[in-house]
Amino acid sequence: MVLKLIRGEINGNFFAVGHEDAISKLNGKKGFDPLYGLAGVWISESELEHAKELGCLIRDCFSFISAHLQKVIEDNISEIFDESDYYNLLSAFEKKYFRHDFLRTSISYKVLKNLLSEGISIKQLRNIMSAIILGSNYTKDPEKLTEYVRMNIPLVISESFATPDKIIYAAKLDPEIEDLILKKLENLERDYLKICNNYDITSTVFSQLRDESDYYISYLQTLYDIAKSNIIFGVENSIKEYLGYCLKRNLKPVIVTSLKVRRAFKEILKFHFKNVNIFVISNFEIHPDYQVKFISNITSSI
Amino acid sequence: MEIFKNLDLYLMSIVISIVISFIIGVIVGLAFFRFLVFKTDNFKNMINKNSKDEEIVEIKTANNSDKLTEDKKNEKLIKKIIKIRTTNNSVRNLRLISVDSKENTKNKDNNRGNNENKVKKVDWRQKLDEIVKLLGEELVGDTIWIIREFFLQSRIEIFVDISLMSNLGKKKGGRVLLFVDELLKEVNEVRKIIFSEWGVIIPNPSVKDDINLKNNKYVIKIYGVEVDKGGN
Repeated sequence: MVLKLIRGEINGNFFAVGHEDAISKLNGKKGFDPLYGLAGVWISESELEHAKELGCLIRDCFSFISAHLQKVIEDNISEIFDESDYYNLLSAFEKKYFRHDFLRTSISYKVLKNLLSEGISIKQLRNIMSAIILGSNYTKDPEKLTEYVRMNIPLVISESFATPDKIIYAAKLDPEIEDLILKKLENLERDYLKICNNYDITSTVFSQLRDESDYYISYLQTLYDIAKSNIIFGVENSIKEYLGYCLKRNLKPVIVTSLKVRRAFKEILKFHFKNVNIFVISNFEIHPDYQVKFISNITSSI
Repeated sequence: MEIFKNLDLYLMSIVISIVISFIIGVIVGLAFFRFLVFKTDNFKNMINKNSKDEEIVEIKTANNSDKLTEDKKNEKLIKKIIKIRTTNNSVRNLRLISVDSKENTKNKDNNRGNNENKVKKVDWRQKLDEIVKLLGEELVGDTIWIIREFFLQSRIEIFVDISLMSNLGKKKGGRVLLFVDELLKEVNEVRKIIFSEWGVIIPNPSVKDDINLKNNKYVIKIYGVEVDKGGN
Protein backbone atom coordinates (compact mmCIF):
# COMPACT_ATOMS: atom_id res chain seq x y z
CA MET A 1 0.00 0.00 0.00
CA VAL A 2 2.71 2.46 1.00
CA LEU A 3 5.17 1.08 -1.52
CA LYS A 4 2.98 2.14 -4.43
CA LEU A 5 3.04 5.72 -3.24
CA ILE A 6 6.81 5.80 -3.07
CA ARG A 7 7.26 4.95 -6.74
CA GLY A 8 8.04 8.00 -8.80
CA GLU A 9 9.56 9.07 -12.08
CA ILE A 10 12.85 10.79 -12.72
CA ASN A 11 12.00 12.80 -15.81
CA GLY A 12 13.62 16.09 -15.00
CA ASN A 13 16.18 17.72 -12.81
CA PHE A 14 13.86 19.05 -10.11
CA PHE A 15 10.81 17.73 -8.33
CA ALA A 16 8.23 20.21 -7.02
CA VAL A 17 5.80 19.34 -4.21
CA GLY A 18 3.04 21.63 -3.05
CA HIS A 19 -0.66 22.39 -2.97
CA GLU A 20 -2.87 20.83 -5.67
CA ASP A 21 -3.70 24.22 -7.25
CA ALA A 22 -0.02 25.15 -7.47
CA ILE A 23 0.94 21.83 -9.03
CA SER A 24 -1.80 22.02 -11.66
CA LYS A 25 -0.21 25.26 -12.98
CA LEU A 26 3.11 23.54 -13.65
CA ASN A 27 3.91 21.49 -16.74
CA GLY A 28 5.63 18.12 -16.53
CA LYS A 29 5.21 14.50 -15.61
CA LYS A 30 3.48 13.79 -12.34
CA GLY A 31 4.98 11.72 -9.55
CA PHE A 32 4.96 11.11 -5.80
CA ASP A 33 7.31 12.35 -3.11
CA PRO A 34 9.10 9.28 -1.70
CA LEU A 35 9.24 10.44 1.93
CA TYR A 36 5.76 11.84 2.53
CA GLY A 37 3.79 10.32 -0.36
CA LEU A 38 2.56 13.72 -1.59
CA ALA A 39 1.79 14.38 -5.26
CA GLY A 40 4.26 16.49 -7.22
CA VAL A 41 5.58 17.41 -10.69
CA TRP A 42 8.94 16.92 -12.43
CA ILE A 43 10.06 20.27 -13.83
CA SER A 44 12.94 21.65 -15.88
CA GLU A 45 15.30 24.43 -14.85
CA SER A 46 13.34 27.07 -16.76
CA GLU A 47 10.28 26.52 -14.55
CA LEU A 48 12.23 26.49 -11.30
CA GLU A 49 11.60 30.11 -10.34
CA HIS A 50 7.93 29.90 -11.28
CA ALA A 51 7.52 26.91 -8.96
CA LYS A 52 9.25 28.76 -6.11
CA GLU A 53 6.85 31.68 -6.53
CA LEU A 54 3.91 29.27 -6.25
CA GLY A 55 5.29 28.13 -2.88
CA CYS A 56 6.31 24.63 -3.86
CA LEU A 57 8.89 22.56 -1.96
CA ILE A 58 11.63 21.66 -4.46
CA ARG A 59 13.78 18.57 -4.40
CA ASP A 60 17.01 18.07 -6.32
CA CYS A 61 17.32 14.78 -8.21
CA PHE A 62 19.95 13.58 -5.75
CA SER A 63 17.89 14.50 -2.73
CA PHE A 64 14.94 12.68 -4.36
CA ILE A 65 16.90 9.43 -4.43
CA SER A 66 18.30 9.99 -0.92
CA ALA A 67 14.81 10.70 0.44
CA HIS A 68 13.70 7.45 -1.13
CA LEU A 69 16.64 5.73 0.52
CA GLN A 70 15.67 7.24 3.87
CA LYS A 71 12.15 5.86 3.52
CA VAL A 72 13.44 2.41 2.57
CA ILE A 73 15.90 2.34 5.49
CA GLU A 74 13.27 3.45 7.99
CA ASP A 75 10.91 0.73 6.79
CA ASN A 76 13.57 -1.98 6.97
CA ILE A 77 15.71 -0.67 9.84
CA SER A 78 15.37 -3.80 11.96
CA GLU A 79 16.75 -5.93 9.11
CA ILE A 80 19.66 -3.58 8.47
CA PHE A 81 20.56 -3.42 12.19
CA ASP A 82 23.29 -6.04 12.28
CA GLU A 83 24.99 -7.76 15.21
CA SER A 84 28.25 -5.97 14.35
CA ASP A 85 26.36 -2.65 14.53
CA TYR A 86 25.07 -3.62 17.94
CA TYR A 87 28.51 -4.38 19.34
CA ASN A 88 29.93 -1.13 17.93
CA LEU A 89 27.10 0.74 19.62
CA LEU A 90 27.61 -1.18 22.84
CA SER A 91 31.33 -0.47 23.06
CA ALA A 92 30.60 3.26 22.76
CA PHE A 93 27.82 2.91 25.33
CA GLU A 94 30.05 1.07 27.82
CA LYS A 95 32.66 3.81 27.68
CA LYS A 96 30.13 6.45 28.66
CA TYR A 97 27.70 4.73 31.02
CA PHE A 98 28.01 1.25 32.53
CA ARG A 99 28.99 -2.31 31.79
CA HIS A 100 27.03 -5.52 32.30
CA ASP A 101 27.68 -9.08 31.17
CA PHE A 102 24.12 -9.68 30.00
CA LEU A 103 24.39 -6.86 27.46
CA ARG A 104 27.11 -8.86 25.73
CA THR A 105 24.68 -11.67 24.87
CA SER A 106 22.69 -12.04 21.68
CA ILE A 107 19.44 -11.89 23.69
CA SER A 108 19.82 -8.17 24.37
CA TYR A 109 20.62 -7.63 20.69
CA LYS A 110 17.42 -9.45 19.77
CA VAL A 111 15.42 -7.25 22.14
CA LEU A 112 16.72 -4.08 20.46
CA LYS A 113 15.93 -5.57 17.07
CA ASN A 114 12.38 -6.36 18.18
CA LEU A 115 11.93 -2.79 19.39
CA LEU A 116 13.16 -1.40 16.06
CA SER A 117 10.87 -3.70 14.09
CA GLU A 118 7.90 -2.28 16.02
CA GLY A 119 8.82 1.30 15.16
CA ILE A 120 10.46 2.31 18.45
CA SER A 121 13.72 4.25 18.23
CA ILE A 122 16.62 3.14 20.44
CA LYS A 123 17.84 6.70 20.82
CA GLN A 124 17.49 6.59 24.62
CA LEU A 125 19.77 3.60 25.03
CA ARG A 126 20.41 4.13 28.73
CA ASN A 127 16.78 3.61 29.74
CA ILE A 128 16.41 0.62 27.46
CA MET A 129 19.60 -1.08 28.60
CA SER A 130 18.78 -0.69 32.29
CA ALA A 131 15.32 -2.16 31.60
CA ILE A 132 16.92 -5.12 29.81
CA ILE A 133 19.24 -5.79 32.76
CA LEU A 134 16.31 -5.66 35.20
CA GLY A 135 14.19 -7.94 33.04
CA SER A 136 16.98 -10.48 32.63
CA ASN A 137 16.39 -11.51 36.28
CA TYR A 138 12.93 -12.82 35.33
CA THR A 139 13.27 -14.34 31.85
CA LYS A 140 15.88 -15.14 29.25
CA ASP A 141 13.34 -15.44 26.44
CA PRO A 142 13.91 -12.45 24.08
CA GLU A 143 10.23 -12.15 23.14
CA LYS A 144 9.07 -11.94 26.75
CA LEU A 145 11.94 -9.68 27.65
CA THR A 146 10.86 -7.20 24.98
CA GLU A 147 7.40 -7.15 26.56
CA TYR A 148 8.99 -6.37 29.92
CA VAL A 149 11.24 -3.69 28.43
CA ARG A 150 8.33 -2.08 26.62
CA MET A 151 6.45 -1.70 29.90
CA ASN A 152 9.42 0.06 31.44
CA ILE A 153 9.92 2.63 28.68
CA PRO A 154 6.48 4.26 28.26
CA LEU A 155 8.00 7.66 27.53
CA VAL A 156 10.06 6.36 24.61
CA ILE A 157 7.11 4.50 23.11
CA SER A 158 4.55 7.26 23.46
CA GLU A 159 7.04 9.81 22.10
CA SER A 160 7.65 7.79 18.94
CA PHE A 161 3.93 7.57 18.06
CA ALA A 162 2.64 10.93 19.28
CA THR A 163 2.24 14.17 17.37
CA PRO A 164 4.16 17.26 18.57
CA ASP A 165 1.07 18.23 20.65
CA LYS A 166 1.56 15.06 22.77
CA ILE A 167 -1.52 13.37 21.35
CA ILE A 168 -1.60 9.77 20.12
CA TYR A 169 -4.25 9.15 17.46
CA ALA A 170 -5.11 5.48 17.66
CA ALA A 171 -7.75 2.82 17.08
CA LYS A 172 -9.14 0.62 19.85
CA LEU A 173 -9.48 -3.13 19.60
CA ASP A 174 -12.92 -4.51 20.46
CA PRO A 175 -12.87 -6.28 23.90
CA GLU A 176 -14.86 -9.20 22.49
CA ILE A 177 -12.06 -10.03 20.08
CA GLU A 178 -9.54 -9.69 22.91
CA ASP A 179 -11.50 -12.22 24.98
CA LEU A 180 -11.64 -14.61 22.04
CA ILE A 181 -7.87 -14.51 21.54
CA LEU A 182 -7.27 -14.89 25.29
CA LYS A 183 -9.54 -17.95 25.51
CA LYS A 184 -7.70 -19.70 22.71
CA LEU A 185 -4.35 -18.98 24.30
CA GLU A 186 -5.59 -20.25 27.68
CA ASN A 187 -6.75 -23.47 26.01
CA LEU A 188 -3.26 -23.95 24.66
CA GLU A 189 -1.74 -23.57 28.12
CA ARG A 190 -4.33 -25.93 29.59
CA ASP A 191 -3.40 -28.60 27.08
CA TYR A 192 0.22 -28.21 28.04
CA LEU A 193 -0.63 -28.40 31.75
CA LYS A 194 -2.46 -31.70 31.10
CA ILE A 195 0.65 -33.12 29.50
CA CYS A 196 2.66 -31.92 32.49
CA ASN A 197 0.26 -33.63 34.95
CA ASN A 198 0.51 -36.91 33.06
CA TYR A 199 4.28 -36.91 33.42
CA ASP A 200 4.28 -35.49 37.00
CA ILE A 201 5.96 -32.23 36.03
CA THR A 202 5.84 -29.38 38.55
CA SER A 203 4.73 -25.87 37.70
CA THR A 204 8.29 -24.51 37.86
CA VAL A 205 9.38 -26.92 35.19
CA PHE A 206 6.33 -25.93 33.17
CA SER A 207 7.48 -22.31 33.07
CA GLN A 208 10.81 -23.52 31.72
CA LEU A 209 9.04 -25.77 29.25
CA ARG A 210 7.11 -22.78 27.96
CA ASP A 211 10.30 -21.29 26.55
CA GLU A 212 11.02 -24.42 24.54
CA SER A 213 10.69 -24.24 20.78
CA ASP A 214 8.04 -27.00 20.77
CA TYR A 215 5.68 -24.81 22.77
CA TYR A 216 6.47 -21.81 20.58
CA ILE A 217 5.53 -23.74 17.42
CA SER A 218 2.14 -24.74 18.82
CA TYR A 219 1.69 -21.14 20.01
CA LEU A 220 2.26 -19.85 16.46
CA GLN A 221 -0.07 -22.52 15.08
CA THR A 222 -2.92 -21.36 17.33
CA LEU A 223 -2.32 -17.76 16.26
CA TYR A 224 -2.48 -18.87 12.63
CA ASP A 225 -5.76 -20.67 13.32
CA ILE A 226 -7.20 -17.51 14.88
CA ALA A 227 -5.97 -15.43 11.91
CA LYS A 228 -7.73 -17.73 9.47
CA SER A 229 -10.99 -17.84 11.45
CA ASN A 230 -14.07 -15.88 10.32
CA ILE A 231 -13.92 -13.31 13.08
CA ILE A 232 -10.54 -11.91 12.15
CA PHE A 233 -11.55 -11.74 8.49
CA GLY A 234 -14.24 -9.30 9.60
CA VAL A 235 -11.64 -7.27 11.47
CA GLU A 236 -9.53 -6.98 8.34
CA ASN A 237 -12.06 -4.66 6.67
CA SER A 238 -12.25 -2.26 9.60
CA ILE A 239 -8.44 -2.12 9.77
CA LYS A 240 -8.30 -1.28 6.06
CA GLU A 241 -10.68 1.61 6.62
CA TYR A 242 -8.53 2.87 9.46
CA LEU A 243 -5.37 2.59 7.32
CA GLY A 244 -6.99 4.65 4.57
CA TYR A 245 -7.84 7.33 7.13
CA CYS A 246 -4.24 7.36 8.41
CA LEU A 247 -2.82 7.70 4.89
CA LYS A 248 -5.01 10.72 4.19
CA ARG A 249 -3.88 12.51 7.33
CA ASN A 250 -0.27 11.22 7.21
CA LEU A 251 -0.53 9.50 10.62
CA LYS A 252 1.15 6.37 11.90
CA PRO A 253 -1.39 3.53 12.21
CA VAL A 254 -1.56 2.62 15.92
CA ILE A 255 -3.88 0.10 17.59
CA VAL A 256 -4.28 0.02 21.38
CA THR A 257 -5.00 -3.33 23.07
CA SER A 258 -4.78 -4.81 26.55
CA LEU A 259 -1.41 -6.01 27.84
CA LYS A 260 -1.98 -9.76 27.55
CA VAL A 261 -3.23 -9.71 23.97
CA ARG A 262 -0.73 -7.25 22.48
CA ARG A 263 1.97 -9.65 21.35
CA ALA A 264 -0.52 -12.21 20.02
CA PHE A 265 -2.53 -9.62 18.10
CA LYS A 266 0.65 -8.16 16.60
CA GLU A 267 1.62 -11.58 15.27
CA ILE A 268 -1.89 -12.25 13.96
CA LEU A 269 -1.76 -9.01 11.95
CA LYS A 270 1.46 -10.19 10.29
CA PHE A 271 -0.48 -12.98 8.55
CA HIS A 272 -2.81 -10.47 6.89
CA PHE A 273 -0.80 -7.27 6.37
CA LYS A 274 2.67 -8.24 5.29
CA ASN A 275 3.85 -5.05 3.57
CA VAL A 276 2.30 -2.47 5.89
CA ASN A 277 3.64 -1.57 9.32
CA ILE A 278 0.80 -1.45 11.85
CA PHE A 279 1.94 -0.58 15.36
CA VAL A 280 0.24 -2.31 18.29
CA ILE A 281 0.70 -0.87 21.79
CA SER A 282 -0.85 -1.75 25.15
CA ASN A 283 -2.46 0.51 27.75
CA PHE A 284 0.53 0.16 30.07
CA GLU A 285 2.92 1.54 27.47
CA ILE A 286 1.37 5.01 27.33
CA HIS A 287 2.92 7.71 29.49
CA PRO A 288 0.43 9.75 31.64
CA ASP A 289 1.65 13.00 30.07
CA TYR A 290 0.36 11.89 26.69
CA GLN A 291 -3.27 11.90 25.59
CA VAL A 292 -4.85 9.13 23.52
CA LYS A 293 -7.62 10.00 21.05
CA PHE A 294 -9.47 7.01 19.63
CA ILE A 295 -10.36 7.63 16.01
CA SER A 296 -12.10 4.33 15.34
CA ASN A 297 -13.00 0.97 16.85
CA ILE A 298 -11.74 -2.23 15.31
CA THR A 299 -14.59 -4.71 15.35
CA SER A 300 -15.71 -7.76 13.44
CA SER A 301 -18.42 -6.75 11.01
CA ILE A 302 -20.03 -10.23 11.12
CA MET B 1 91.51 -33.86 59.62
CA GLU B 2 88.01 -32.44 59.88
CA ILE B 3 88.64 -30.54 56.67
CA PHE B 4 89.35 -33.78 54.80
CA LYS B 5 86.18 -35.31 56.22
CA ASN B 6 84.06 -32.50 54.71
CA LEU B 7 85.95 -32.56 51.39
CA ASP B 8 83.24 -34.60 49.68
CA LEU B 9 80.69 -31.97 50.62
CA TYR B 10 82.87 -29.16 49.24
CA LEU B 11 83.40 -31.02 45.97
CA MET B 12 79.69 -31.72 45.62
CA SER B 13 78.74 -28.07 46.18
CA ILE B 14 81.31 -26.92 43.56
CA VAL B 15 80.04 -29.43 40.99
CA ILE B 16 76.39 -28.46 41.58
CA SER B 17 77.17 -24.72 41.26
CA ILE B 18 79.01 -25.35 37.97
CA VAL B 19 76.08 -27.37 36.58
CA ILE B 20 73.51 -24.73 37.58
CA SER B 21 75.55 -21.89 36.08
CA PHE B 22 75.93 -23.92 32.86
CA ILE B 23 72.16 -24.47 32.59
CA ILE B 24 71.43 -20.77 33.24
CA GLY B 25 74.02 -19.81 30.65
CA VAL B 26 72.43 -22.10 28.06
CA ILE B 27 68.94 -20.70 28.71
CA VAL B 28 70.14 -17.08 28.51
CA GLY B 29 72.11 -17.85 25.39
CA LEU B 30 69.12 -19.47 23.67
CA ALA B 31 66.88 -16.57 24.57
CA PHE B 32 69.46 -14.13 23.21
CA PHE B 33 69.80 -16.18 20.03
CA ARG B 34 66.05 -16.25 19.57
CA PHE B 35 65.77 -12.52 20.18
CA LEU B 36 68.55 -11.61 17.78
CA VAL B 37 68.40 -14.11 14.96
CA PHE B 38 65.13 -15.95 14.90
CA LYS B 39 62.97 -12.86 14.55
CA THR B 40 64.83 -11.28 11.65
CA ASP B 41 63.79 -11.78 8.05
CA ASN B 42 67.10 -13.34 7.10
CA PHE B 43 66.47 -16.34 9.28
CA LYS B 44 63.04 -16.87 7.74
CA ASN B 45 64.49 -16.55 4.27
CA MET B 46 67.17 -19.09 5.15
CA ILE B 47 64.48 -21.60 6.02
CA ASN B 48 62.43 -20.89 2.91
CA LYS B 49 65.39 -20.93 0.53
CA ASN B 50 64.86 -24.56 -0.29
CA SER B 51 61.50 -23.86 -1.95
CA LYS B 52 61.96 -22.99 -5.62
CA ASP B 53 58.93 -20.73 -6.20
CA GLU B 54 59.84 -18.24 -3.51
CA GLU B 55 58.03 -14.95 -3.97
CA ILE B 56 57.34 -12.04 -1.64
CA VAL B 57 54.02 -10.30 -2.00
CA GLU B 58 53.19 -7.13 -0.14
CA ILE B 59 49.59 -6.16 0.17
CA LYS B 60 48.96 -2.50 0.87
CA THR B 61 46.10 -1.32 3.02
CA ALA B 62 44.26 1.97 2.88
CA ASN B 63 45.17 5.28 4.51
CA ASN B 64 44.03 5.98 8.04
CA SER B 65 41.48 8.51 6.83
CA ASP B 66 39.83 6.00 4.50
CA LYS B 67 39.76 3.21 7.03
CA LEU B 68 36.31 2.07 7.99
CA THR B 69 35.39 -0.44 10.62
CA GLU B 70 34.29 -3.01 8.03
CA ASP B 71 37.56 -2.63 6.16
CA LYS B 72 39.51 -3.31 9.31
CA LYS B 73 37.60 -6.52 9.85
CA ASN B 74 38.21 -7.65 6.28
CA GLU B 75 41.88 -6.85 6.63
CA LYS B 76 42.12 -9.04 9.71
CA LEU B 77 40.23 -11.80 7.93
CA ILE B 78 42.54 -11.74 4.94
CA LYS B 79 45.55 -11.74 7.27
CA LYS B 80 44.20 -14.83 8.97
CA ILE B 81 43.56 -16.62 5.69
CA ILE B 82 47.01 -15.78 4.37
CA LYS B 83 48.56 -17.04 7.61
CA ILE B 84 46.75 -20.34 7.31
CA ARG B 85 47.64 -20.75 3.66
CA THR B 86 51.29 -19.87 4.06
CA THR B 87 51.86 -22.09 7.08
CA ASN B 88 50.37 -25.05 5.26
CA ASN B 89 52.44 -24.45 2.13
CA SER B 90 55.76 -22.71 2.69
CA VAL B 91 55.86 -21.57 -0.94
CA ARG B 92 55.30 -17.87 -0.58
CA ASN B 93 55.71 -15.14 2.00
CA LEU B 94 52.90 -12.66 2.34
CA ARG B 95 52.92 -9.43 4.30
CA LEU B 96 50.22 -6.87 4.92
CA ILE B 97 51.78 -3.42 5.18
CA SER B 98 49.84 -0.27 5.99
CA VAL B 99 50.60 2.92 4.07
CA ASP B 100 51.41 4.82 7.26
CA SER B 101 54.49 2.69 7.86
CA LYS B 102 55.94 3.66 4.48
CA GLU B 103 59.25 4.80 5.92
CA ASN B 104 59.85 1.46 7.53
CA THR B 105 59.09 -0.37 4.31
CA LYS B 106 61.59 1.77 2.41
CA ASN B 107 64.36 0.75 4.79
CA LYS B 108 63.35 -2.87 4.45
CA ASP B 109 63.46 -2.62 0.66
CA ASN B 110 67.01 -1.28 0.81
CA ASN B 111 68.09 -4.12 3.02
CA ARG B 112 66.66 -6.73 0.72
CA GLY B 113 68.68 -5.70 -2.30
CA ASN B 114 68.43 -8.70 -4.61
CA ASN B 115 64.88 -9.54 -3.66
CA GLU B 116 63.51 -6.20 -4.93
CA ASN B 117 62.48 -7.54 -8.32
CA LYS B 118 60.24 -10.14 -6.77
CA VAL B 119 58.27 -7.69 -4.60
CA LYS B 120 54.80 -6.88 -5.87
CA LYS B 121 52.51 -4.39 -4.20
CA VAL B 122 48.77 -4.90 -4.33
CA ASP B 123 45.87 -3.00 -2.78
CA TRP B 124 43.77 -5.86 -1.51
CA ARG B 125 40.43 -4.05 -1.63
CA GLN B 126 40.62 -3.09 -5.30
CA LYS B 127 42.62 -5.95 -6.71
CA LEU B 128 41.29 -9.14 -5.23
CA ASP B 129 41.66 -10.84 -8.61
CA GLU B 130 45.39 -10.18 -8.60
CA ILE B 131 45.71 -11.69 -5.15
CA VAL B 132 43.91 -14.76 -6.43
CA LYS B 133 46.36 -14.98 -9.34
CA LEU B 134 49.41 -14.53 -7.11
CA LEU B 135 48.28 -17.06 -4.58
CA GLY B 136 47.01 -19.48 -7.19
CA GLU B 137 43.38 -20.52 -7.45
CA GLU B 138 44.02 -23.94 -5.97
CA LEU B 139 45.70 -22.38 -2.96
CA VAL B 140 43.02 -19.80 -2.36
CA GLY B 141 40.02 -22.01 -2.91
CA ASP B 142 36.68 -20.45 -2.11
CA THR B 143 37.90 -18.10 0.61
CA ILE B 144 38.54 -15.01 -1.55
CA TRP B 145 35.29 -15.61 -3.39
CA ILE B 146 33.49 -15.71 -0.04
CA ILE B 147 35.12 -12.43 1.02
CA ARG B 148 34.14 -10.77 -2.23
CA GLU B 149 30.56 -11.97 -2.14
CA PHE B 150 29.74 -11.57 1.51
CA PHE B 151 32.17 -9.32 3.35
CA LEU B 152 33.05 -6.67 0.77
CA GLN B 153 29.46 -6.33 -0.41
CA SER B 154 27.83 -3.42 1.38
CA ARG B 155 24.47 -4.07 2.97
CA ILE B 156 22.72 -1.25 1.14
CA GLU B 157 23.23 -0.79 -2.60
CA ILE B 158 21.83 1.72 -5.07
CA PHE B 159 21.84 0.63 -8.72
CA VAL B 160 21.33 3.45 -11.21
CA ASP B 161 20.71 3.52 -14.97
CA ILE B 162 23.89 4.59 -16.81
CA SER B 163 22.11 7.12 -19.00
CA LEU B 164 20.72 8.84 -15.90
CA MET B 165 24.22 9.00 -14.45
CA SER B 166 25.76 10.50 -17.60
CA ASN B 167 22.90 12.96 -18.21
CA LEU B 168 23.06 14.43 -14.73
CA GLY B 169 26.85 14.17 -14.49
CA LYS B 170 27.37 16.15 -17.70
CA LYS B 171 26.00 19.36 -16.30
CA LYS B 172 28.36 19.19 -13.36
CA GLY B 173 31.58 18.56 -15.26
CA GLY B 174 30.75 15.78 -17.67
CA ARG B 175 31.80 12.81 -15.64
CA VAL B 176 29.82 9.87 -14.36
CA LEU B 177 31.84 9.80 -11.15
CA LEU B 178 30.53 13.24 -10.19
CA PHE B 179 27.03 11.81 -10.01
CA VAL B 180 28.20 9.23 -7.49
CA ASP B 181 30.02 11.84 -5.39
CA GLU B 182 27.01 14.14 -5.37
CA LEU B 183 24.67 11.32 -4.40
CA LEU B 184 26.95 10.08 -1.63
CA LYS B 185 26.99 13.57 -0.10
CA GLU B 186 23.21 13.47 0.16
CA VAL B 187 23.27 9.91 1.45
CA ASN B 188 25.67 10.90 4.24
CA GLU B 189 23.11 13.39 5.47
CA VAL B 190 20.49 10.64 5.48
CA ARG B 191 22.78 8.59 7.71
CA LYS B 192 23.04 11.50 10.14
CA ILE B 193 19.25 11.95 10.21
CA ILE B 194 18.69 8.27 10.88
CA PHE B 195 21.23 8.24 13.71
CA SER B 196 19.58 11.25 15.34
CA GLU B 197 16.07 9.80 14.99
CA TRP B 198 16.61 6.06 15.50
CA GLY B 199 19.95 5.85 17.31
CA VAL B 200 21.33 3.39 14.77
CA ILE B 201 24.55 3.85 12.81
CA ILE B 202 23.97 2.69 9.25
CA PRO B 203 26.81 1.50 6.98
CA ASN B 204 27.85 3.46 3.91
CA PRO B 205 25.76 2.39 0.93
CA SER B 206 27.47 1.81 -2.40
CA VAL B 207 26.36 3.36 -5.71
CA LYS B 208 26.72 1.24 -8.86
CA ASP B 209 25.59 1.37 -12.47
CA ASP B 210 23.45 -1.35 -13.99
CA ILE B 211 23.07 -2.09 -17.69
CA ASN B 212 19.74 -3.87 -17.26
CA LEU B 213 18.07 -0.75 -15.90
CA LYS B 214 16.55 1.57 -18.51
CA ASN B 215 14.46 4.75 -18.75
CA ASN B 216 16.03 6.63 -15.82
CA LYS B 217 15.32 3.92 -13.29
CA TYR B 218 17.10 3.18 -10.07
CA VAL B 219 16.88 0.27 -7.64
CA ILE B 220 17.65 0.12 -3.93
CA LYS B 221 18.80 -3.24 -2.62
CA ILE B 222 19.26 -4.45 0.95
CA TYR B 223 21.36 -7.60 1.40
CA GLY B 224 21.21 -8.06 -2.36
CA VAL B 225 17.41 -8.22 -2.36
CA GLU B 226 15.51 -5.69 -4.42
CA VAL B 227 13.47 -3.53 -2.09
CA ASP B 228 12.04 -0.80 -4.21
CA LYS B 229 12.19 0.61 -7.71
CA GLY B 230 12.06 4.23 -8.68
CA GLY B 231 10.88 5.36 -12.08
CA ASN B 232 8.33 3.34 -14.01
